[in-house]
Formats: sequence, C-alpha cells, structure tokens
Amino acid sequence: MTQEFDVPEFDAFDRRLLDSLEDGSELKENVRRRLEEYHIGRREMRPGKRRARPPKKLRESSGVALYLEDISVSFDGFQALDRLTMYVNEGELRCVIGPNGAGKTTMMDVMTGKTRPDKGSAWFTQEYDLLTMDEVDIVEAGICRKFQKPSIFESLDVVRNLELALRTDKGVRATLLFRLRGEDADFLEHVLERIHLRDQRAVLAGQLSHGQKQWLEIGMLLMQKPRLLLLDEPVAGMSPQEVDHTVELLHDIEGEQSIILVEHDMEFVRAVARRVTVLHQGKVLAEGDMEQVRNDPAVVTAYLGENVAEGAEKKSC
Amino acid sequence: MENTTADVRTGLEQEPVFDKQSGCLVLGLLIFASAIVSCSLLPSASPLHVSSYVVSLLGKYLCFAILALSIDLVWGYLGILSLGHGAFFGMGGYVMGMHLMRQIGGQGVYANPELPDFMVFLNWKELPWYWWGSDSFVFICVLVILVPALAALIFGWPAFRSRVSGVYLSIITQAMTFALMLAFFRNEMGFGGNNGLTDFKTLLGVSLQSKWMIAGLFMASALALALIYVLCRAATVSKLGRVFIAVRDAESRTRFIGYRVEHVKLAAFVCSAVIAGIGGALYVPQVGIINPNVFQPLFSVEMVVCVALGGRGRLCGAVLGALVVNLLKTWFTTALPEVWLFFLGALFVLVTLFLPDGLIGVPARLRRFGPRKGGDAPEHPAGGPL
Repeated sequence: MTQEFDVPEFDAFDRRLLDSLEDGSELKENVRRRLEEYHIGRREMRPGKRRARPPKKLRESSGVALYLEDISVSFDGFQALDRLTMYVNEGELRCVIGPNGAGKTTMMDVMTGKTRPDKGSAWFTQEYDLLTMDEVDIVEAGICRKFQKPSIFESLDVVRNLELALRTDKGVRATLLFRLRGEDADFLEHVLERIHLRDQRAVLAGQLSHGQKQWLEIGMLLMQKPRLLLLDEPVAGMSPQEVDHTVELLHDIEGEQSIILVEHDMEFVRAVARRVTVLHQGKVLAEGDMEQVRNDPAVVTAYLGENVAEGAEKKSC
Repeated sequence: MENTTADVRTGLEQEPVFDKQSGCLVLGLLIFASAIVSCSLLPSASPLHVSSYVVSLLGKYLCFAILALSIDLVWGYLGILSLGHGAFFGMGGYVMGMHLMRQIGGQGVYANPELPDFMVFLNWKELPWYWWGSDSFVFICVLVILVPALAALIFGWPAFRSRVSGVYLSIITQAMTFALMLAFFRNEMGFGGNNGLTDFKTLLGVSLQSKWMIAGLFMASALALALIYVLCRAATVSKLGRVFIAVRDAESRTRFIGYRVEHVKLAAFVCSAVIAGIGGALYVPQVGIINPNVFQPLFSVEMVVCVALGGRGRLCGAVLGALVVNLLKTWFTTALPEVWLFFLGALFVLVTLFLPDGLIGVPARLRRFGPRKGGDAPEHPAGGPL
C-alpha cells in the first residue's frame, strides 16, 4: 500500500509504523500528525541546533528565556563554575552580582559560546541548545553581549559602528554588496537617539568619553535586535550623571528583551534590578529581590569577607 | 531619491571609489604609462626615446606595486601581517615561467621540441603531469589565478579556523615561503632547481626582446595595477572594508556582532594571493627569469617594508611605497650595493618612528601641524546629552 505523505522526510521507520496502523483510524491520524510535526520542527531547525529535545523542566515551563542547569567549568583544576543553575524569564531584567572570581564572566562566556562547560546544559528558549552552537550562531539566535571593557571599533565613527552591528545577512558577499536602506537607516537613527549619541554621530568612536563608549556598545547590541542582552559591568568607570543616564536607558529598553546584567555598583543594581542573583565560588548563593538578598547571612559573609564572619563568631563566643 | 535623502540624514553615504587620491593615482598611472609606451616606440635617434631597459624596469616596479597592494589589503586592512606573500607572487611567476619555457620549443640548447632544457639535462624522458597543458596560454592564465588561490585556501583555512593570528601567523607565513624556497631549490621538483626558469624567447609568438612586446607587457602591468587598485578600493570603501577594519581593531567584538571572522579573513587572504600571483605572472616575462630566490623571506619582508613606508591601510600608500623603495633599490644596488640593506633598515625605523602614516600621510600631517600650532588641547567630547 502506498500512501501520499505531506512531509518528504518520512523515513522507512515512519512508513512502517503508519502502515502497521489501521487505515482511517483516529490513532493513525494522531500518529501521523505527530510525526509530521516532528519532521517540520526538525526542518526549521538550523544546523547548529542539537537534535535532542530541550530538558523536561524547560519544556514544561513557559516563558523561560535562558535555562542554565548544572553548568560546571574548570580551568586547570580551578572550579570557575560549580553546578550553576539559573533560569531567566522572557522580558526579565536580572542582575548578577558576586565578588571577584565568583564566575560571573565565565557564566557569560558559557552563554555566548566562548567557553564550553565540562558538563551541564544551556538552552536559549526551547529552540536553541547553546552548547552546540558557536559564537556567531548564538549571536544570530539573538544573544548579544557587551564586554566588560568597552569594545567598539575605535577607528570608525559612531554611525559606522552601529551600521556594522545592524541585524542583516553578515556573509562576505552580502556585506560587500550591502547598502543601508531607508528602513534600516531609520532604525539606526532611533538607536542613536536612545543612546544619546545623536550629536556625536560623525565622531570617531575612539574619541568618545568612556561613558559614551559604553553607550555606543549598548547601541551596537540594540542594532542587532537582540532577544537577550548580556551586559558585563555597563557602568564601570562612569560618572554619576552617566550612571543616571544608563539607568534611564535600561529602563527604556527593559521588557523588549531579557537582560542579564553583571555589576559591582550596588547603587546601580538597586536602581535597575527587580531580581538579583548572587554568585559565589561558581554557585548561586542567593536569589531574590534586592532586600532579600542583602539580608541573606550567606551573602553578607561572602561579600564582606571572612573577617566579619570570624568577628561575628568571636562575638558570639 | 528617497534612499539618498535617508543616507544623507544619517551621514552614512558610501565613500566614493574615486576620491581625489585614487582619481589622481589611476589617471596619473594611465597617462604616465601611455606616455612611456609612446616614447619607447619612437625611433632610438629621437631625444624623447625611452630605452627598452627602462621600460621593463618600470614594468617590474609596477608588478612590485601590485604585490604591495595585495599585502596592504590583508595587512593594512585586516591586520594579517603576511611575511610570505612573495610565495604567491612566485607561484604566479612560476606558472607563467612554465608557459614561457614551453614556448622556447626547439629553439633551446638541446632543441627538444617537447621538453625544457633542464629536463633534457636531467635525462627526463617526458613532461611531469603538472606541466601538462602549460603550452596553452589560456590555461596558464587560469592557473595563474587558481594556483595561488588554492595555496592560500589550503594555508589559510586551517590557520584562520584555529584562530592563529598576530605574530604566530606571521611566523607561519614566513615558514611557508621558506619551505617553498627549499623545495624549489631541488632539481627533482621539476622547476629547474636553483637556476629556475629562464632563457625565455617568445610570448604568444612575439619575441620578448621586441620593443612592441616590452611596451605591451608594461602597458598590461599598468592596466592590471589600475584595475586591481580600483577593485581593492571598491572593496575597502564598502561595508566589507569596514568589517576588515573592525577585524583589525577588535576581532572578538566583530565575531560577537555576528561576523564569521575566519570567512572574512580567508576571503581577503585568497583574493590577496590571487593579486600577488597576477603580479608575479606579469613580472616574469619582463625580467626574463624566475628562480627560487623569489621565495626568500627577505623578498617578502622587503615588500612589507615598502607597504609600511608608503603607508599601510591606504592602498595608494602601498603603490607609492613599492615604487619609491624599488627606485631607491635600483639606484643603491648599482651605486652602493653593500649599503642598501642598512639603508632600507634605517628607513624603516625612521618611518615607523616619525611617520606612522607613511609617506602618503605626510601632506595630511603637514596640514595638521600648520593651522593649529598651540591649540593642541584635544577636543573634549561633550560630557553626555545633558
């Protein structure tokens, strides 16, 4: 018996399975529909994505943008991340704080494909298995990262920096033939407005002030229409006024995409964060809103150092 | 029309391919070449006559300028310092040399219509497979492009993929050209050993000594240089050119905004190798010999020095540097041969110290120092949108 299928990917196994079922039965229709869904789903997956299905926990929860589970990374015996588990929801602004060496930057490296963890799983929504993708695939999927040190193209002017970052086909040939079209130019203008660099549009990026460089880099991320922004210390080295503007900027873009923010500046974190995750020695030490976290004794110990803890112990003795 | 207004609004209009500098260069080159060709065709009694020796010498400089352009494309724009670009130049040259050897035919010393002299001398009975088809000019023209491209691909792909960069890459390129030199010194390679390929007689049936052929080759070099310059310029003013600069300045940032840096590098490296190969192919019939010395690291380094002297990251600079250095070299190697390398080294050090933009940057530097003498205070970028 030959049967016309809608999906060309049906293989011998699928056919045998279908053939074995009774024609016209409800079961057969159900099985066929599920098989079709499976194959169409696979077809839409790009090569970087793993064939495996997302973990059960992720499948059962909706609205999770980033899913990190049991991530461990070690460098020459130093455990940078130790079974780190963290979930970030779509549209959430999450602050990650922690003392130096807590693994904040390593965590970002794992998410962006710069470092491969020894074990664990990392998913971006239910579609993308980050551990099977390289940096460029991850950027294309919509995760964009601002580095700790402002990293922009110093010998190009501000608008050129933004233009390079524009979300578009970034293959060699497409780039050679690229022309900025009206719509993209409007978007560029809009981003320029948001990052307050309208009047500096023709200035070489290298001549911007430190704070402006940070904004330009955030602007470059916005040009990529990201779904998840990773910001590594965006206000480091900024003047108080510049920090205020950055807070404004973050409130402005909040909700359009998820944001993960790594920061040392507690004032700033208090101003922008709804939820805070505290990392310590590669593990999540506490999670909650700022007040909860601040009052968590484990956090106080980790942050203020062992002296305080020892001191407290001595006192209690 | 709408597009243009939008572009003007954002200040993102594409830089023209022919700005003042490039226009001058291309036009000047074409006028100069036509003048030289016309003068060389005058009867030798005429006071304006230019001898064949001078014409082929100038043609040789133009070929070096092509090589310098190819180095500038990868070094000046992408920051890949190749100390082995002479290898690609040499490959183009050897391919052309093979054709010229086959053109000698029965006019050789051993008068073997099939085999080049050195093969007869080595007692070879038939052509090795890699010489097959070398009697066809069209096929050779294809090979001039394919051989360097393939070599660059084979060399570049693993290197860029494993993210070798900076000084390590430079060392590998130098090792590559050195290895090729050693290989080509061997007689068994079938490229004439340390004598190389020489004693060429004709190209396309015309004697290489005739003034028409010499003028023609010179003109071809000038046209090739102009065309390659325009193509490189078009690439560097495009968005791809800005991606090149982005890779040079902040490679990892470029990767993290979604460009496959290794693809960009490989594409540029292969194009650059092809350009170098074309330069080599035009060089060989004009100088009449190609031998393994072209693979010497020194030659490649000298070309890099040319680019640095002229001004890297500006295509005009590479051309200017190649012409100036080789003019000086010709003068020195006849007048004070033992001083040349010291002079070149000193020149390199001085230019790096005092003219970081190279010779091509001198006018701009003078202009900058002219009007604002005391006012050296850097413009303070406005402290934010307050």
